[in-house]
Amino acid sequence: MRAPRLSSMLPFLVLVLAGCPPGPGQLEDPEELIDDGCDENWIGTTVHDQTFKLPPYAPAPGLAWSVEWTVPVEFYGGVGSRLRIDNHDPDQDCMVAFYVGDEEPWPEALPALPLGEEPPPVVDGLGELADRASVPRAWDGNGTWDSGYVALSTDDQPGMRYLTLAACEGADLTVGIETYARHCSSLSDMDVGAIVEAVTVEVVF
Amino acid sequence: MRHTGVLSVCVLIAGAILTIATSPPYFSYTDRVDLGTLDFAEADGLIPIDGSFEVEGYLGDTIEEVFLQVSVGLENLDAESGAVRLWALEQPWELETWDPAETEDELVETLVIPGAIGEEPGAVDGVMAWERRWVKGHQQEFHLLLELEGAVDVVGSGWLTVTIGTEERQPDDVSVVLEVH
Repeated sequence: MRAPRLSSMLPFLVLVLAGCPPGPGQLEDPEELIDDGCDENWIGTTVHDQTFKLPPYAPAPGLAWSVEWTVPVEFYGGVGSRLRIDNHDPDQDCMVAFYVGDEEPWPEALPALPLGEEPPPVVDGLGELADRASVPRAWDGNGTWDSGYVALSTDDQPGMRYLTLAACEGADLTVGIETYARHCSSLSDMDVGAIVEAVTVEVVF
Repeated sequence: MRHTGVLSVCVLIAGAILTIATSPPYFSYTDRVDLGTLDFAEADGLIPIDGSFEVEGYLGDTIEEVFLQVSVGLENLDAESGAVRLWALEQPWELETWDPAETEDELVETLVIPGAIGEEPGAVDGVMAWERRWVKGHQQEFHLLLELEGAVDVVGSGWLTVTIGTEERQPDDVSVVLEVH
């Protein structure tokens, strides 16, 4: 018996390579393929996304914002905030530090951030250090950037957190803030967006 | 309806695979050389890389593509950031005559390395790629230069890769030999 020619098998091979089922009679129910385990089905929804130009001086450059959220029934997830700091200044690098606390931050609490030194891990009035970066100056005319991140909640704890970005003096910085909810429940994006009741951003420093 | 949709997606993917399968074949041959330790402080910020590549075996009459890539992993112990630039030079590098502000050599790519924070060095991993057409000749010299500006105390390691790419059908015994001196 002769083996089938490769060319006659090509359409079948292509369908198999494309990951498609061989025929409607053998089609699996897509509902059966969904794994409800939270290890694999995380969904992220951005609830706030805004970019600010930081004042370079007087008395110190910084940015403060707060995030408040509630947790609906059957919610398993968390709320987080991400930062992107762009340095457009061709002349200087810039240290930035990102603090999270439970009380409204004081402008006078902003620490000095010498280049090359670790920022203080805890600052009265700002809270705990969540992330920090040394953002390089804009080499060869191209701006450079770095990013930071903090998880604000876990699972079923509703709350309110205050966040502060402290930055070096004099640099030409823009700061992008993205706050999002992450979940693995059956909630719609609209429901998840509603769990973050308020993201209030104010340039206070 | 759902089955119709699934079938449409299958047809689209199958079409894409058939398109790729019927495109002209593309052959590439690669060799790689370790550049050893890159100590910019010891080299006063300038590390020249001179070398040549040679293609062994038959190549056709078509113009081939050449990709030279410098891959580096660097650590910066200075608080200030730095910029590592890869230059493709027309001639072998000479300290007395080469001036980055005056040269007409080609600036291939710039890699920015952040400053150290406390005990943690700034770090960057990157690939700087120089692509050009190769007009005949199975052996060709090249002259590259790594220039560091800003930070001084930068060390790391790297390697150089050369890849010859062609759409012309080739025998299997073609190889590329890369040398750095």
